[in-house]
Amino acid sequence: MAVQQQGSNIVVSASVAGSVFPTSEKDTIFPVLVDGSKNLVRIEGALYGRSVELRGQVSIHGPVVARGDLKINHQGQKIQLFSGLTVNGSLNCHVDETSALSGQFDSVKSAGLIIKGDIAANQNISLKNAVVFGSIRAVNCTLENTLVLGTCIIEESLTLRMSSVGGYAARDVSFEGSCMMIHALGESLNRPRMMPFETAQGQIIASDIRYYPAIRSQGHLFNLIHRPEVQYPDYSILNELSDWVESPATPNAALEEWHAESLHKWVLSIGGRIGDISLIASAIEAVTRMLKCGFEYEHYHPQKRRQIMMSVTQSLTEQEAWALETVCL
Amino acid sequence: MSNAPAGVSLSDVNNAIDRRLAPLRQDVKLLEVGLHDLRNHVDREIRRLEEEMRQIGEMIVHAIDRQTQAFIGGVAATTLMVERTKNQIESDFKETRGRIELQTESALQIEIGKKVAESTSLRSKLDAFGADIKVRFEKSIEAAGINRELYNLKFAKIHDEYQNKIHTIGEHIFQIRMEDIAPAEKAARVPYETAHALPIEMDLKRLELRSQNLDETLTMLKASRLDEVVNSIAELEGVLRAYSLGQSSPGAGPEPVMVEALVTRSAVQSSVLAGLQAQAVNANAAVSLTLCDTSLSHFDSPAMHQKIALVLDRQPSRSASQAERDELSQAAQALLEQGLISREALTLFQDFLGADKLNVVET
Repeated sequence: MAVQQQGSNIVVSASVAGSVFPTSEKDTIFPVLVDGSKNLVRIEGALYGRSVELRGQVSIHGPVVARGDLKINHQGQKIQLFSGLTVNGSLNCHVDETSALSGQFDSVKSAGLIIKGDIAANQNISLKNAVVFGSIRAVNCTLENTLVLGTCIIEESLTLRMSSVGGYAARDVSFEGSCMMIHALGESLNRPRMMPFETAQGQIIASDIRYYPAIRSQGHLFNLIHRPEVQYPDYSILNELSDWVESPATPNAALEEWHAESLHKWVLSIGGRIGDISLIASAIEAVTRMLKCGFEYEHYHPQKRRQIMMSVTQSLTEQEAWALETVCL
Repeated sequence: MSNAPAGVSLSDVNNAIDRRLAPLRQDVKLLEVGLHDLRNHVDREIRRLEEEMRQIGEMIVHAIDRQTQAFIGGVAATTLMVERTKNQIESDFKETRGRIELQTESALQIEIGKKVAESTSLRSKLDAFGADIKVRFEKSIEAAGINRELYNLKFAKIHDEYQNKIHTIGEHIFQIRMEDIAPAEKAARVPYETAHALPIEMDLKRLELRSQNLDETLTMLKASRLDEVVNSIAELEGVLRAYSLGQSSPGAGPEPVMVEALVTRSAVQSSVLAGLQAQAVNANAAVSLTLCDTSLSHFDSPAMHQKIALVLDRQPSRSASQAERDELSQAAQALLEQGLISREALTLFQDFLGADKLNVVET
């Protein structure tokens, strides 16, 4: 029996062809544990629970909705969520420090958690070693070794540690270690903080933020400047003094700043630079096509899907293509 | 709905009573027949006793008659005794008869009493049975009413429970809808274009400023470097052309030249614009003009203003027609779209045109 009650837990220990929804009142009260630590657990539909824990090798094709908190522990394996997450509480991604995937990231292929779709949480989000093929919305958010191909709308504080994001809008933002902006889109109420990052092994990595279209030709979706063998051109640096400017701004509807009368925000802008716009345009277009194909893939005709994806992947880097192919089943 | 009991009718009760009364009536009839036989038997006994007594009397009479003769004289006492005996017998007979009648009547009364009591008992039983049926019927009706009330109560409870469950399930569904799905809805409420409007606007603004900056730099470069070279080339070409046509030397005398200029004159100020080039305006200027040809700068001198004033005073002037004002307004609009005048300048110019104070001098 794939879904069974063990004590005060609803445990899903085998694949389910449909959705895992509550069938009685107690199912809405008991926490749900999807345990893929021994074998792959595939849920073809959606998952709803009071509080949800995903453990081991789990693949969920429908949306995951948690009434309380959502805890993710991939235990060195891969957890794939193909329709986004909605969490009423907090989302916490736990990484076992002894696992093979706990080290520093060098490629999206090392990700232990792959999420396609948006992540929305009413409280906090903490992600590690993850790839998000969508956007994030939360009150507080900490990303470590995480790639977010969309944007992060964070009401309070956004912390990026060795991560790459498409864009951000937050009250506070801090960049720790080598980070990368896929698009030059960012605004924060307070001045961004650039800080070094200390790894679990005690290595100190200086703050360095790069603009992805400028180094896209090297095929890295993460900023690997801390590695001796990696060299990026200087014009790819996003400089704190020149690329973040303070400007009067109207309240941002996404951050629910209606109460504010006048604001001064710190905005990431590369509009003042002189550069090869065609290079930036081609990178933005490729990433846009990748996201479009990823999100629309299920809506294409089954016989045309692979053909469309192949045409898109031709203009993508290896890691971009891998990310697209991973989320397109 | 009728209050009559289901399954038991009055005719059924009457039939049941009739069935019960039929054997009783038969018993009463048999009892009447028995009483009649008993009465006949008693009458026969009485008659037999009367016959025996009469025969005894006759025997006694015969005996007395027979002994009378023997005992005429001295049997007076005997006669008396006989008389007394006769009287005694008669009284005894009467007493006996009365007792027999009394006994018979008593037995009869007892028997009748028994029968009456028995029949009364049966009637009372029937009455009790009927009353019992009636009581049971009434109880049945009462029980049916009670059951109906209980059914209503139970149904109300079931209905209430059903309603409560529906409300609970609905409440839970709405709770999930309002609380659990809300984060996703909240995230989807504002499109990302709106969320990132500020960086995009900032990029556009910085691009625009950068573009203006580059334009100004280019203009300055052109004015300071290129125009001088171009003018030098033009002057050189003019000199060379003069030589090539076989004319006198260039320094022979003043040569008439035609200069395109714009003259504006009002009661307050007059100006001559020649050799000027319009530049893209910035935020604080209504119009930005740059002198491209410095050799034409003497046109904007007091002597030239005086000369122009004399010429204009001699020439007839007229108010600008509506078509001319419209044309000028469209031209100003085009300048605004090219960024050569500010919106405030356009507004002021349109106000001026609307005031109908523009005069045209035709030469």
